[in-house]
Amino acid sequence: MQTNAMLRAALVAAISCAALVACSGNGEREAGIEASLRATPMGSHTASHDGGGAGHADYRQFRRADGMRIDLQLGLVNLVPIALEACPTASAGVGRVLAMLNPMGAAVAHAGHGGSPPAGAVNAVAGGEGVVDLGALIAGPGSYCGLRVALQPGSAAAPKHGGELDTSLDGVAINVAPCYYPDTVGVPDTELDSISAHSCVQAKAAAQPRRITLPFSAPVTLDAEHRQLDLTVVLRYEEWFDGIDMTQLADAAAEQARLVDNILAAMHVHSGDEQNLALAFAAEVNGDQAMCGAAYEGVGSTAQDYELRDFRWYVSDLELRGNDGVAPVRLAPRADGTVHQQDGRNVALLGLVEGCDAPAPARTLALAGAAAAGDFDQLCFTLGVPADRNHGDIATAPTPLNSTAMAWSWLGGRKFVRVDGIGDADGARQNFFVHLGSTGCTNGTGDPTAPPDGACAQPNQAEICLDYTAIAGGGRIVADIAPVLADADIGSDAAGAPGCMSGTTDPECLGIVPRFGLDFTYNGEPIPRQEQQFLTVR
Amino acid sequence: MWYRFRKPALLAGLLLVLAPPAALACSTCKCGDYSITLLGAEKPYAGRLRAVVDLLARSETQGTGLNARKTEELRSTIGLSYAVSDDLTVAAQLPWVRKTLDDGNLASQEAEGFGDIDLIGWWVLHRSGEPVVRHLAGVRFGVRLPTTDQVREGGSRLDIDVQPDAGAIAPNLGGWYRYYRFPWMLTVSGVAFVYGDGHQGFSPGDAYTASLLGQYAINADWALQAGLDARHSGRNRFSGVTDPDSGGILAALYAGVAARFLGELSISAGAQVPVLDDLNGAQDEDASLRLSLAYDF
Repeated sequence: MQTNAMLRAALVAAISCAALVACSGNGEREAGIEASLRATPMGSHTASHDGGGAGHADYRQFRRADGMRIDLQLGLVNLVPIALEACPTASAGVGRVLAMLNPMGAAVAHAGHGGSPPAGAVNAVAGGEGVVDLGALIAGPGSYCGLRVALQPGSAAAPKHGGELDTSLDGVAINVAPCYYPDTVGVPDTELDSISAHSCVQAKAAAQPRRITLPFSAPVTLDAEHRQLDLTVVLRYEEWFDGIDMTQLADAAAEQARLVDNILAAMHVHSGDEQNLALAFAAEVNGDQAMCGAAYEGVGSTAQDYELRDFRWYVSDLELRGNDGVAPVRLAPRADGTVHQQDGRNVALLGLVEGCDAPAPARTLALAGAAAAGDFDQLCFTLGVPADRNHGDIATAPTPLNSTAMAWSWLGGRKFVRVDGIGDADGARQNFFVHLGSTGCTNGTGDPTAPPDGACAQPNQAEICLDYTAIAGGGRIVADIAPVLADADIGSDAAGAPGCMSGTTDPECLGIVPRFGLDFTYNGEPIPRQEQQFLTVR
Repeated sequence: MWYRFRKPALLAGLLLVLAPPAALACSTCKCGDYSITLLGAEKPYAGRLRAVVDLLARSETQGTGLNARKTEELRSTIGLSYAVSDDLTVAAQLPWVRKTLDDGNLASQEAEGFGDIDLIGWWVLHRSGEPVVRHLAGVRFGVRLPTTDQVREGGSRLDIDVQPDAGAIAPNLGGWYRYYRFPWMLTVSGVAFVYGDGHQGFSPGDAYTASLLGQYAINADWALQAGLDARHSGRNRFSGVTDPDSGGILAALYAGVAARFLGELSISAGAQVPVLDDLNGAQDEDASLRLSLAYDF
């Protein structure tokens, strides 16, 4: 009996040993929902001295909104992704509140099962693309409408660059070192290099964390079938110093706070399924840079001198068109309020956005945003303001629709294009204004403080389509008023408003409105549109 | 006279040894005396050789929301015990573990492999009752050794949470007491585990377990079982960082049935349901199921 028991035990032991030898561990893994993030600095092509160009490997050169030249020697931003923000549903709202209460955000992983931290601070002056890996965020299944990021005070020293500059981010999220050229305000790009007087400062800011949500151009659904999301945060460094008193930046908390606000406002995000858009504009008169108060020769049918007093225009509902159909553009908001993006539609005010009489002239000559990636060869938009947003009360309208200088009335709506000038500047000095807007808007009573009761007879909203391939390749969208005035005698005014204010009885409009690509009616006679000559790509 | 009581006593013992090891709040710190099947609750007799297979199905969730991680585990443990003498029994126990992890972001991992081996000894320090022993008490001592697989996929190790075991050396020491009075049996035990560092920088928290199990024999082949198991463990550490969703106190009720077949084969099955949950952070322990087979050679 004892022997049998021992034999059976030996058999069990042998089988067990064989099993132990035969078996080895194995496993498998399936990735979960994760957003991979990176950041990249972006400049525009608005200045002839493009900071991204060759020859400036260690700094970025650009002009801020008032035209002041900035040479950015150091631009460190410690940017930390916090969470994907769920689209606003009832349940997502609760989750968002809980996430906000979580000081670590959703990026915290349990036992290392998801998410990863950024590789380092974003460096706007980095060579090449300057792309920084922002790590990854894990997310649950759901629909997401934005990326929540934070300016997070850091502790680690950034990679060395910029010579002797202090590159530390210890206790701050932002470390910038711009050189500025005060005398370059109001100077054409062509004369920029002739002005050498400048000052250099260094400023650190954002000692407290600041958070912002960067909206997606369209909701992103993540589920078992769509587990990977690639996101790129774009930092538009050329907007960082708009409106800042550069002489106070190094020491004044208020200026540093404005810098933080500007940097937050000058960020947008796009996914891997989208393309980043950098639209550079230029305002010109007869091929020369449009400058307030400058005089230009050979303008109009009689080749008069022309002195510029104002030059601004609205564009709206931008979209890409091509073999892949139509892709709406989501414009990134700007700190100066010249972009309005809501519910998939947008309006932007471009040009000398505060006019020539503003105490601090400002210009907007760059738009950024995102649209679906694909085969698109046209950038299309409306020159003007959509009718449903055109006839609102400017007192309550969002920027940039609240510009009084661009408003006619509630009934008449906005001036879509406003180019004010003086013809025969050395002689008769004839005011010659081009104000393009809707006409024939009625509401039964003619009350200018009430909206129209139907479509305006002459909406005058030109649809412009430009070569997007050229734009994506670095071409600038140039607005030049001279071709529009080519048939107009700007040294005189036959009747009506000085110049052309879109009036259907104004003889000056005969040769002007059709050149915006618009059908025109002059004293009841239809005047066919011409190919628009206001905007070109160069 | 002794023989008259031997059979029901042996049955009770066989049934009792099949009592469940209780739920595992994690793969490293087990609630209750998981080795009770190997020891056997019958009075030890020299030369007994026992083979045991335990099947345990359990699940738990750690973390909440996006950070929730659900673990499902099927643990098949084979063990051999041998009574060196009436007072000393030694045993070895090796689990084959299959785990799946499902994260809040739909990530999943699956692994199977051998876990950490347990080497255990029981020493009887007290026995009383003549001619039938009614009281037995002693110490339990053992050590867990890091024999677990480091399961890999595509060349990289899977997370420690899905590995069969922690891979930590864990000496352990405890005591036990048993009371026999047919058709009733009662056993009480307590064990302290001290964990070293495991794989991947994982350091399990030390654990203290206690079990109380009662059994009522319906007849010579069938018995009902009920018990209470408890565990207190410290927080785990991962790469030096304390996991807030680990450790704490858990108590669970067990209810099951045991039967004997073919003379030497015993089977028991039951379920364990948590009744007291004072676990740290966000941890949710589900009910567990267990099936055990024991054969005495």
